[in-house]
Amino acid sequence: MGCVERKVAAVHPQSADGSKAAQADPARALALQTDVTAFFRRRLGADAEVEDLVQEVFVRAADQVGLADEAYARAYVFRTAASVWADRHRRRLARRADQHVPFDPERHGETDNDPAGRLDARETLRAATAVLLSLPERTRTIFVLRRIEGMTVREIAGRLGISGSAVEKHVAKALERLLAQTGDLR
Amino acid sequence: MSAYPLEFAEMAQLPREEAAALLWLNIDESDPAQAAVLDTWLDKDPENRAAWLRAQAIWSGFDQAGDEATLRVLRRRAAKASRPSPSSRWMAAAAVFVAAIGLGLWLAERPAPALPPPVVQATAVFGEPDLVTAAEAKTFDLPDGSKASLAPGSALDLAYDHGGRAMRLVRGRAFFDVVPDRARPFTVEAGGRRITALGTRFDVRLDEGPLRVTLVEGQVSVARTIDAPDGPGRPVVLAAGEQLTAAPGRDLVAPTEAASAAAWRESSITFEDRPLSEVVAELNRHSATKLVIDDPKVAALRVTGRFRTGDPQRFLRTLAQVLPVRGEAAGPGRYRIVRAD
Repeated sequence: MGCVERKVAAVHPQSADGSKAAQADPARALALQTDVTAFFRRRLGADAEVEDLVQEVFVRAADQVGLADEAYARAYVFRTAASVWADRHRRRLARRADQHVPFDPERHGETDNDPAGRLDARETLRAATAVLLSLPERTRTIFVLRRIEGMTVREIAGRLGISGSAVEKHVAKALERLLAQTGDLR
Repeated sequence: MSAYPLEFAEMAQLPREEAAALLWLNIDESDPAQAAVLDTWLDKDPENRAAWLRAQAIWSGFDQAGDEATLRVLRRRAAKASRPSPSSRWMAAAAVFVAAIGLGLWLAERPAPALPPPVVQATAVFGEPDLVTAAEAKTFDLPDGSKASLAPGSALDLAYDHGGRAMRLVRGRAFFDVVPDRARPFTVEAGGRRITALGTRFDVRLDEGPLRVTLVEGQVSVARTIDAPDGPGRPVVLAAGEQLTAAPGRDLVAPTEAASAAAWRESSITFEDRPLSEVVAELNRHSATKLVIDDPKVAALRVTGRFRTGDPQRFLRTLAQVLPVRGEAAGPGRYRIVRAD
């Protein structure tokens, strides 16, 4: 969700005082709702849970949806969607860890982000770490700075004396290799 | 609006993993146009969707990175590799200087050369000292990436194998900058003691009175060796800023000015408009790692600046930023400075 976060990261003047909760434009709200629904369908397919998640997003983002700055409102809603999705994922991991609710791989989308449904989060991380070790050092350094240390592309570019697009290429290359090779490891 | 507008046609050409990575990293799903590009690609093949979801799972998986020991090491290394060097201020000044003498243009965005570290040879067992200094202090790159700086008149015997990094300070004084590696303990024997370190920096001296160990950073334990001349005793754990002085009954531990224990080995030399060949010759006197220049044009390049002795790799990195040259490995313990390109 990098892009959404980047957009919202700049403090918006209208969000600061919180007094601009204008009347929500119904057409805009509807379009947003359609797009947020698509956001969850992309991840879950046509599951009934999608509706609950969409609703949770609009409950959490209620005071921002009607902001005069439409682009800001939209970015805010999508950032909320990303965090609702992340929370769902965390809840499910916690439940599985407690073994109170058995994991049911039969339901479509009940995969905890892992379509194969075979890797739990820790195994994914372990496999990914093993692949990281095999990457060229520079690519690995850049990926670690970006993903784990949370540094911005610009900051990394400045530190290493390379261009921002070179940084982005290293990050994409690293993720590509992680994707290609964590598959081999399971 | 993404910095990288991605086209479906373009994505369809790419291998699945590459497209999935690019789409996951660059698509802003809040933008309907971009979301449409993503959906077209995802709907094209169920495998596409699976790859994209996996990209997301892998990416999110690093949220738990804090618990992974291997990742902690990788993070430390990444931090080290990207630390803004203290020489950068000098580099800015040097850049102006280089531009002034007409080599300019050349500073734009060049990655620092990735150099394989030239290292000293280490045997797997103790024998004759591997590293010896005469009149000059020298800094050595050890096979594991750690550094040992030896004061004049010192001797260090290395015994490296897969299980450990053992060395023995035979005489003199040494400062160690240890790369962390839990699997291979770093031990230094000296004066009837064995100092065991993880990632840390410490100074060991036998050159003035009884053995003294000063810890600058991290943690070390100091135990007596089986053949300690002053008999058995309990191991002592030192904290940063403490100094141990060996004594017959019980070793003495006292707080000390740790910075001075590190300072002896740090010196720098200032050059003003000198040929590179001269600068290199001077730096070589202080380092076990030697720099060589075969190309007379390179040797004649003029250099102005202040350089730390005993760290040739750092010197090469700095040099590559301000002159059209780069370092290349030229055998164990040697770098050749050649023209870039």
